Amino acid sequence: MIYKNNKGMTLIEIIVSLGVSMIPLLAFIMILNFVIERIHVAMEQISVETNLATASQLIKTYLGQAVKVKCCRSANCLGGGALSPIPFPTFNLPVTADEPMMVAEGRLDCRDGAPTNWTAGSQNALGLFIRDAGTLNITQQAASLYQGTGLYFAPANSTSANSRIGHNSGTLFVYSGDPAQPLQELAKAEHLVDIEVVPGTLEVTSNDYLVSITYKITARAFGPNSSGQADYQIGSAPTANYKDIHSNVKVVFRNNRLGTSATNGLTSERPFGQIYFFKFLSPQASFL
Amino acid sequence: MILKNSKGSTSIMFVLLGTILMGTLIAVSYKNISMRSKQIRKIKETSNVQEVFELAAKTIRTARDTDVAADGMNWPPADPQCANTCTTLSGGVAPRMCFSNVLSAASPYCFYDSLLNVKNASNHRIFIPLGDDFILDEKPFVETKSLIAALNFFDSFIELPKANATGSINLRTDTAGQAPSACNPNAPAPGCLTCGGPNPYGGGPVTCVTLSACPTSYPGCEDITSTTTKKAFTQTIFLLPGGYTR
Repeated sequence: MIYKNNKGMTLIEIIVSLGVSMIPLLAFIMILNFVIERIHVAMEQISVETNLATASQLIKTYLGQAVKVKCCRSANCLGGGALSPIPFPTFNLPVTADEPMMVAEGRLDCRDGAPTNWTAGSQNALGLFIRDAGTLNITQQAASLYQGTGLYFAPANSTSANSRIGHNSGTLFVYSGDPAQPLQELAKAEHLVDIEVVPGTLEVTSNDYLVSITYKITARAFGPNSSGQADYQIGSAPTANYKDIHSNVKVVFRNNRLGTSATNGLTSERPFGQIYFFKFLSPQASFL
Repeated sequence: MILKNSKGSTSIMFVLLGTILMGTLIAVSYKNISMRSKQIRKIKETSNVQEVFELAAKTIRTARDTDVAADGMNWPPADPQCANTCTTLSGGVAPRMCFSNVLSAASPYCFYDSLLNVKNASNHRIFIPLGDDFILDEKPFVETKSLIAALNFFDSFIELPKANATGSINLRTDTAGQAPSACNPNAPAPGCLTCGGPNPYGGGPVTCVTLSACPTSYPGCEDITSTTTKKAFTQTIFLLPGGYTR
């Protein structure tokens, strides 16, 4: 009697029906996981590429406006190695009297692979120089405005349990401001592994004034199934799946005086002849 | 009873929910990826424009004996050397400048103003509206290859943004100057540079040229007939006076 009118299911029926329904469900979950994984990888790679392009643009833009910068080939020519843990560098390069505008002579570490003695986790100076930040004002007129500028690279010094968001990655910093004051952080680019001077690309005058240089910038993206730790350290072999992306960027020091003409200052010969560039203005890129 | 009548519906419900979830995820991610891709493109385009400006500056520097429309508007110039081969384009767009003796007289580079829809032009060029007299260098021309490379680059640059691209690169003179607070335009100290101001080293006023570019991938740049530079890349360069001719 009890079982006669029973319209429910037996245990066997429940187990079988659940098992059958699990088949498409599991298949669907696998597809979903695959899609999510691919989306994460794509977003990670795009983020890395954005940072790589930003780093290239920062280096090119700011070095391109340097007005008096020389190549230096010693570890201490930029004022004493790594800056750690200071938040803001100081512009302490000597002002020389051979330039009418009394612009301090900037310096750039131009050794092959430079800086060759990275201090991991600290900010290592790539260059410290004066640039012209003068631009058009609202009346479409231009005048010079000189600012102290520093480029620093902080290599990664540890691994990270979080493998996909650039934690503990190498970072390029740009500092800028009044040369008499500590420079302020202006922009940065992350996800980097290394920045180095490409051997044989350096172009300087006989007086070591810079004409052009090419940097190789390396960024790193971590791929799917990254069970291991992210590791952006130079020369490391991460346990997680990864892919290094390289970009070579040639920088022409278009505003740099070359010191080859009879006159100095603004009339000095420059890489494009006696042409001088005011600041480049981009419509939607705040870091410029 | 509930279980009996809902047999199979559980898995269907899971599938439906999963589909909605995955669809939402893909849509959000696509939007995010698309936005970041545009960001990369703009950064790369910024770099391209900078190179264009450098090449344009170099081009201006190395050209000589250029024919310029006498008043910046009327063509041919008073002393034409390449005027016959730089003709008015369809649409009535007249040349403003040509480099006649840089390349052969038979195939000069013709520069037109920016008020031209590139889509209708048979040949893409760099467009240079000249509002005022244009001062060029008299130095012997030694970089013909650079000029050709520059102009080719301009062509490809204009075509880059999309298949039916419209775009322009404008050059215009800007001779009105204003001194910064630290510089007196009437008695400029060495190191002070202002467009249109006296040259502290002698040789005439400081001449500036403002270059602007407005790739069509940037909002507001779709209409190349617009003369506004609010949303365009701009850069002012100064050309050292002294030793220049027209």
